[in-house]
Amino acid sequence: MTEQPLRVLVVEDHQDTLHYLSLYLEQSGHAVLPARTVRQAVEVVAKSECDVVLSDIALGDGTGWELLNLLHLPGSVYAIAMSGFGTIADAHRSKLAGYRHHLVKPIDPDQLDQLLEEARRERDER
Amino acid sequence: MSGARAFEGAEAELRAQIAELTRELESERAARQARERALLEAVDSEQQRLAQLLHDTSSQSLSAARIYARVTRDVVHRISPEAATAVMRLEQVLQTAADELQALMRWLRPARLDGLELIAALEDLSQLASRTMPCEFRCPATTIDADVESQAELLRIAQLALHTSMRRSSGQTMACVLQVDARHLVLEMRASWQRPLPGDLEELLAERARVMDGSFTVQDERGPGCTLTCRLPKRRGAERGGQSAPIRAAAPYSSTGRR
Repeated sequence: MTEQPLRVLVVEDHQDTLHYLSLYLEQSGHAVLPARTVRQAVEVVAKSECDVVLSDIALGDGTGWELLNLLHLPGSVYAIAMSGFGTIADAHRSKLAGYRHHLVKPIDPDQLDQLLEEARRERDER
Repeated sequence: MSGARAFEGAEAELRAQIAELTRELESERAARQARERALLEAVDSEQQRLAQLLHDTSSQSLSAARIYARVTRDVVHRISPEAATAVMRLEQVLQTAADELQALMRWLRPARLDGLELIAALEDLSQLASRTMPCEFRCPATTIDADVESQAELLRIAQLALHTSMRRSSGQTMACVLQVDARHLVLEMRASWQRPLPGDLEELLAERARVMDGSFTVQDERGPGCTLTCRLPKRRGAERGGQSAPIRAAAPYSSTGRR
């Protein structure tokens, strides 16, 4: 049986990072839903379902923390935050906003793979 | 009688002069504190601007390059495992550069509480310093019942002291203890060597603490070490019976700002 790819909403306002992150995720067999702003992300989620949200914290029109609040996603969606400043305060805020993990940029692809594997297992067990 | 009247008149005039001089001194003190505060805020603001600039430019590009190198490695591996190993080394170099840049950004960015208590923020600072110099932190208290302004200033002083000490440590260690008593927050930073700070920074930190009605001292210990102690009142103005001059508080970091 072929594994269903994870549908990953990637929200990142830096063009190159969004491009290469999407490329990496697609190469790893996932389906990517890209967005560069909070507004775009809301529009994408209105049209398509996702299993994982992978969002930068600093976005041009808001924050990743606000985004999760706006998306009203079911609890089953696995949310991962990314930020350039690796402070405990940022990680704490991400947790409060509903993110399962807070990665510091540049994100380690192996660590991301592990989290996505966990997201896949959780989805498949449901 | 006329002599007594003349004496009373002179005394009254003297009292008036003293009152006038006292008013002028108070006014000058308030103006000086406001200038000092504005200068410190300008330094913080500039550091924050630099940190944000690094975050938005070099850090983002490094982040993209790091992921692109990984994508490249996976592709190259199918053709030449040896070449893939070379790309992996490139990834490691990029990661190291990114880590160094991130540490620099965090040191530049003025320390913020961000809704966290001072204890967690100091723990974070201690972890950051530990990348270069073994740095322990402990606090017997579990909560801090102090003004946010006092907590933020203590954190900022600790950040400046630790960052500079770290660069002058050369294999030495630091142990920090935060004590909370009825009226003060007291942070002791015990260095295992002497003179962890240059004299001008000691003066600057003492000035920062003084603006908050507190103190910053450096005390040599028996043996090679010394202790930096920052003592700030939990409530600003409490040390002068609530007569603190109105000084503009440091601008809070916007939670909607770029990160």
